[in-house]
Amino acid sequence: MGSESYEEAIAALSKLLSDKADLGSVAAAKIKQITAELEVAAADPTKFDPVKRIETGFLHFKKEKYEKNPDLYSALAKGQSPKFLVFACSDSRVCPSHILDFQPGEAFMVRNIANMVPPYDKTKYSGVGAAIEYAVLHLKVENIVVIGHSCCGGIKGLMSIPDDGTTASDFIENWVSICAPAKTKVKSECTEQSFSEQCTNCEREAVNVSLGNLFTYPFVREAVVKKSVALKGAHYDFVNGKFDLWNLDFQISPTLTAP
Amino acid sequence: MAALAPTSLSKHPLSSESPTQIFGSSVQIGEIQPTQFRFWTSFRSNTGVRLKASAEPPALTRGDKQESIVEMESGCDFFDKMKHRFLRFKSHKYLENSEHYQALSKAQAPKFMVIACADSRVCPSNILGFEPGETFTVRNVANLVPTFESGPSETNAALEFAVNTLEVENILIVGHSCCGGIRALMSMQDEADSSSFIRSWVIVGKNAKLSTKATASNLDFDRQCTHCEKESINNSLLNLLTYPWIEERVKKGVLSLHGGYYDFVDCTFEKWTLDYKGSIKDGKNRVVVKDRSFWC
Repeated sequence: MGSESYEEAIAALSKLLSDKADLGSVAAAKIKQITAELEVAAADPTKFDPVKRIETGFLHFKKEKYEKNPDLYSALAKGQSPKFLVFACSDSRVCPSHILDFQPGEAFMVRNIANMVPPYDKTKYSGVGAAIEYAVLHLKVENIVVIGHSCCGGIKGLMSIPDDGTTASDFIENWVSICAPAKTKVKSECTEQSFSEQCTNCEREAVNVSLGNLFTYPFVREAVVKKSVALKGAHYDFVNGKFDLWNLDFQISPTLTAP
Repeated sequence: MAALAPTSLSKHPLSSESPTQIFGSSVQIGEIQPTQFRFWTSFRSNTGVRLKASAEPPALTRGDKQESIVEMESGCDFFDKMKHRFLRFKSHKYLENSEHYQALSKAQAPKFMVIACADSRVCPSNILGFEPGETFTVRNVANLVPTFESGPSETNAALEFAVNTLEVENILIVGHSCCGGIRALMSMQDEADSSSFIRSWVIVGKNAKLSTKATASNLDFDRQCTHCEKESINNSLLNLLTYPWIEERVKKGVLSLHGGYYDFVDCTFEKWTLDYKGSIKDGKNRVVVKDRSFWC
């Protein structure tokens, strides 16, 4: 049935073009368009279509989440008041919305390579500084959590930078060098360990370096002293399905006054 | 007095390491700026530390101790909740799909890089339903992409990794409604004002502000901000082309650049793709787009 209609249609077109030759170029253009469309339709259905993927994802979210929680989403449309500022790695496997089930409105989230917090520097690191400033001063988050993870490519990159400091990348090695103190510590203290074990240790030590770097931001220091913000480190091990969480504690001891 | 709220969910040799070493070695290297405060880190609760805390002069600790206990309890509650959420993820997703997660633990091969805002309401995993392994995600204030020439930053380190190492096929920049960062950009009076981090950062989007002021100055401020939110996505798309290894791949057709706008007031999503050839013809001053879609 399909091919009969196709042959009839082609026959009718041929007849028309033999009567009116000047329609040839118009017909050619239209046939090219039809051919292209049919090529797309006939294309391998397993070929990845990025737009379709995003569309399906959004419509699923709208139907299953947005429309089922109208109160939550209409409140969120007016403003956000997350209790958390989270630093997580850009790695596709470690989104805190999955592993810790953060819902919309709960966590102001920064994601970068190896979940690093650089020290205070308005010129070099204004991006991270802007996020911390916004979260602490404007959103008034109560917790800052830095989450590292297993098999982190950024940490491996840091551990692989040669001792002479030569770099092969435009930006990556420069960025991961923020946590060089973690590398130094691991290299000097974990000499018996394999490279892979050293990397795992470095993933955790780097979280601590980042926590320490948070203190170089005066507004973070002030909030921690006032106890309005708590700092925590974490490590997600996706090889073994484990999650560790720890505190950064802080104390001001009484000052000594000599009479 | 130390506020202790340890909630270690698994044992790890490093967790029990003596805490002060971390900062001890850092201070020796001189990497961390000195302040007038002493830092104590504790990874595990142990009665030794608690007892030490209670030996402190009572005058300073009694009132504070009350506060710290209250804080500790509410901190504990939330982190207990976090523990339950992780364990639920582990049993419902991780263990249910263990083959998939084992494969992922060996390597990631995401097809997307997504640049989204840090805003708590716009996580791409939520709004676009991305699953573990699907997208390499950068989140910063106002989903901005600085130019190649602006020097090293967290965003371009991530771009370099995603494009050159992971070889993603698509970069999607997702902007959104009511963006505080864009609002701060639009509110800035003096562009040289670097009194705050926020202002020093959002200036990356200044071309978007200029074009908004040029074309939409008749609109009220809120609508101008909405206009700027979308212009900023296009400005960032153009900034992506300033990276030679990005432009090369776009030219070859192995990398596509897309913009997306999530309106969480109406719950709609608009998506478009950069038409490289068209934008080049226009001298890369203006984004020419194709394949525009609107989902609602």
